[in-house]
Parts: sequence; structure tokens; C-alpha cells
Amino acid sequence: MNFKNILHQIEQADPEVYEKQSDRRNLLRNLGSKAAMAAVPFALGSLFTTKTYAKTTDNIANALNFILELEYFQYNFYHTALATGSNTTTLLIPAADRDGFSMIEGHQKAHITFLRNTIDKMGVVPFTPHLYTADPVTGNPYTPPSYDFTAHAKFHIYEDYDTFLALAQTFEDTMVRAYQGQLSNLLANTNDILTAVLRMSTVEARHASYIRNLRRDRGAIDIPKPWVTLNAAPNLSLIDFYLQEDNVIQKGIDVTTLTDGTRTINATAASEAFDEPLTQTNVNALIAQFLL
Amino acid sequence: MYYCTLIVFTWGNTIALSSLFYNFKACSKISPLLSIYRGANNISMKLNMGSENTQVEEAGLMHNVSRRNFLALAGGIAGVGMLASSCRRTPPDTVYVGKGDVALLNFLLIVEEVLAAVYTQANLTAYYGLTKSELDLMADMRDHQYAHKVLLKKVLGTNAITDVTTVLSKVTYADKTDFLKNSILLEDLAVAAYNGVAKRFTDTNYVLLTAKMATLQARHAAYSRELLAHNSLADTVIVNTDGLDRAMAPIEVYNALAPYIQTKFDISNLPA
Repeated sequence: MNFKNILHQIEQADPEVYEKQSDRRNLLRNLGSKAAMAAVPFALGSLFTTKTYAKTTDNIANALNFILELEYFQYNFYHTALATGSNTTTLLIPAADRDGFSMIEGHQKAHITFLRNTIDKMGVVPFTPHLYTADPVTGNPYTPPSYDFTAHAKFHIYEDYDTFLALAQTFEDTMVRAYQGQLSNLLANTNDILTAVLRMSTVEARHASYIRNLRRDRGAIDIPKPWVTLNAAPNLSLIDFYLQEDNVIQKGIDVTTLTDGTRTINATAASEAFDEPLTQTNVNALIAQFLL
Repeated sequence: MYYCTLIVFTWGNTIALSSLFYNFKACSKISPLLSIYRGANNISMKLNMGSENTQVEEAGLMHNVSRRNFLALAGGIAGVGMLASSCRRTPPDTVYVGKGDVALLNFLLIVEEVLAAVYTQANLTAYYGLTKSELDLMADMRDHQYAHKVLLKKVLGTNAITDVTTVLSKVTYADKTDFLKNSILLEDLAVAAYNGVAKRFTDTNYVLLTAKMATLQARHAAYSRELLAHNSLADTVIVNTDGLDRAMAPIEVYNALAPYIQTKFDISNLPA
């Protein structure tokens, strides 16, 4: 256990850490067993003297609230789509695919409940969507006034299943990226919050894979694979969501220069093999057109 | 010296010879012997690495080659047992994965090696009824595992384990259902391995790196699941009532992977 490294983690999460208000007990709680094992609480005492330290907790709660916001977004997207059409008219999501999308919707709803409980336990108020009127604890997280998933009639998702799928794929890929973008705020956490967010991110990746494969089977013109190839988007109006996905540099290493025996790794495989994080600012800019 | 010669003649196999001298390396009492054959030891490392490739490239001979290597190794060890057992602390056929972050990265490398070997073989002897689309994506899955593998090796540098011999006979490659069930088991396990390893890293830069690889494994898992049965991207065993994918301790994953691995690893310092 490298104690210097733990301090480094906190410093990375919050560059102002050493100047900041600090309360030793609070910090120690955040550090958890790592600090206990390092067995240098006195050293800590001298570093964080009379002030209160709360930024790490704030960072974690903020990251979780941002992810919660995205979960509400997705749940409402799927809930609306599953409720569009009827057996007597035409269902937006056809019978053959409804079990898959119901499972996906269920995962998003479970994430909302899990995140609300986790944030609440931290003593922070969980995010609730703008214009949501029901009781956020007991009510269904469905809130139609908060979203316009057509982006003011730019995407005709309710009339055309393929358009819905193109947007669904883009949202899921973006969620994978958004969650990974929040990990740096969770590194100082020594309980299972970091792990929980990772576990949610792989569920979002499963969703993305499912929807991409549906589109592939339906003959989508971009011939999507279950994974993201370079920065390929379903169509031109969605390319911004895929910027930087063609990155092939990992930990400063250009993966395309590596070989395994005679086997080489091309840029396509190198880009597909790694999903790429997006910052909160970028994600907010991308989804703003769907918010009311 | 008599012993060595005897074994060479008995097995007629450089791998037996090299593994014999590898055993001697740990034994200070016979260091004069070692100095003579240091060159042979270097060759043995290369041979071990090469045998993995042989196994997958010569599809039809795969199991034979694998079994022959194993017998050769076992013979070498048995032959030298009397001579060397009194002076080495760990079994010579055991590969030490290291400790801390090195152990965790080597552990992920083992996971990736198994997947790479299975997909390499699957591409050579694909299941019946495979479509063009499935063939293309199966090649992708193989290439992704290689990308992960080479990056982990590069990051580990000289700490990387070099000789992972996998057991490919676990899978009936010609049978779509059997192949997919194995693929699903391994991909779901890889997801659980990546999710479980994150909080154990001391250097948190590795968390940010491996998270990017975890989601790719999840894409693979969901795809193989879809090929087996539509709308089965996950199930209640894999994703719990909180909507969370699995995260497993390294040792749990390692034990689940054991049937696919022939190499014996010393994981005594793998973070619990």
C-alpha cells in the first residue's frame, strides 16, 4: 500500500486539496481502509490542519447525481418508446424486440433507485428532473414534460423504428462514455461506489451492443457492429457523439504499433477494443437538444 | 550430467531439456551446471512462447501439440525431481504472477490470453452455419483480445508473464451452441474480472484504463448472448436487481477460468 499514492489520488481528484478546509475524521472516512493500512494518521493531521475537507465527498456526490440525471434521461426515453403505438395500431417497438427493451428499461429504472439511495446515504439530495411532479422516492421516474426526444422534430423517432434505434444506439454509447468520464471523480472512494459505477457502465455497454446488433440485422446503412468502430456514427446528425472514439493511444502507448508475434493491431481493432470517456461538459452539450 | 543426457534421449525433445535446466536455475548448489546451459534456458523461454502460437495456427494438430508439450514438461520434471527437489522453494513449472498491481495486470492478461486463444481457434475452425456477418465479427472479437493482450504486456514490460498455455479442448468449435456458451461464460467472466479488479489497484490510472476494456468485453458478452437467443443481452444472474453487472474477486475468476488454463500460476500474492 503506497500512502503517497493515496494522497496523489486525492490531489488529482481535487487539486486544491492541501489548501482546503479540512476535517480529519471526514477525510479519514473518505480514505477508508487505505489510510488505515498506511497507518499514518498523524501525518495526515499535520497536512490537513484546522479546516474542513469536503470536496472529495462533493465530487463523488456530484458525479453520482450526474449519472442519475442520465439514467432518468434514458429511462424516460425507453418508457416513452415502449408506450408508443398499440397492438391495434402499430407498436413503435415490435413484438419481437419488446423483451429486450423491457429489460433495458428495467435496468435504467433499477439504476435510478440504486443511485438515489446511494446519494441519499451520503447526506446529499439526489437529482430530480426539471418539471418532475410526483414523489421522487415512491413515484415512477416517468416525466414526459422534462424531455423532447425528437429534439424539436429533428428526429422522427416515434414514427420510424430505425430512427429510434439510431438514437438509442447513440444514447447508449454516450452513456458508456459519460460514466467512464466520471471515474476520475470516484477514485478516492474506497467503498463500493467506484465498483458500482463500473458495474453500471458494463450494463450500458450490453445495451449498446444489443441495439447495434439489432440495427446490423435490420440492414442499417452504416453496417454497425456491436462495438464502436473508429468514430463512425449512425448518421451525419449524430457524429458529434462519436468524436474522439477513434483514439488508439492508451496510457501513452499507440496500440497500432504493438505486435504479438507476427500479429499486428490495426487502427480499427485498436479503436474498437477501448471505449473512450467524455467529460460532463461534453455530455451536457450533446444531450441539451433533448431537454425541456 | 548423466541425468540430463538420459532425459534428452528419452524424450528427444528440446522442451523437456529446457524445462530441466529451468528447474536448475533456482538451485544454487548446481550453479556450475546452470552457467553452462544459460543459453539453453533462453531458448526454452522462446520455445514456450512459440508453442502457444503453434497450438492455434496448426488447427488440426492443436490438441496433439498441446498434449505432447505437457507430457514433455511433465517428463522433464519427473526426471529431474530426485536431483533438484531438495533445493528449490517453488515448483519449477509454476509461473509467478507477481504482487500488487503487477499481479492484477498479469491476472487480466491471463483472462485475455484465454479469450484470445479461444477466438483464434474459433476463427480457424468456425461453427457450422456461420454467416458472413458472424464470421466478420468473430475476427473482430479475436483482434480485440489481441489488442488488450499486447497493451497489457506492454504496460507490464518485463513483469509480464510470458508463457500461458491454454486448454482449447474445453470448446467444441464446430458446434454453434457450445462455442457460444463458452464465449458467453468467458466474456461475462471477463466483465466480472475487470469490474472486480478496479478497486484493488494501487495506481488508479489503471482503473481508468481497464474500465475502457471492461465495456468492450460487455459488448462481446451481449453480442454472443444475442447470437444464442434474441433478447438475452443479460439475465438476472449476470445483472442483479440494482441493475449492476457482476464484479468478482480475482481468485473467484481465476478458479472459474482454471479449466481453460494448462499453465500453473503462483497467485499467492494476487490481491484478494
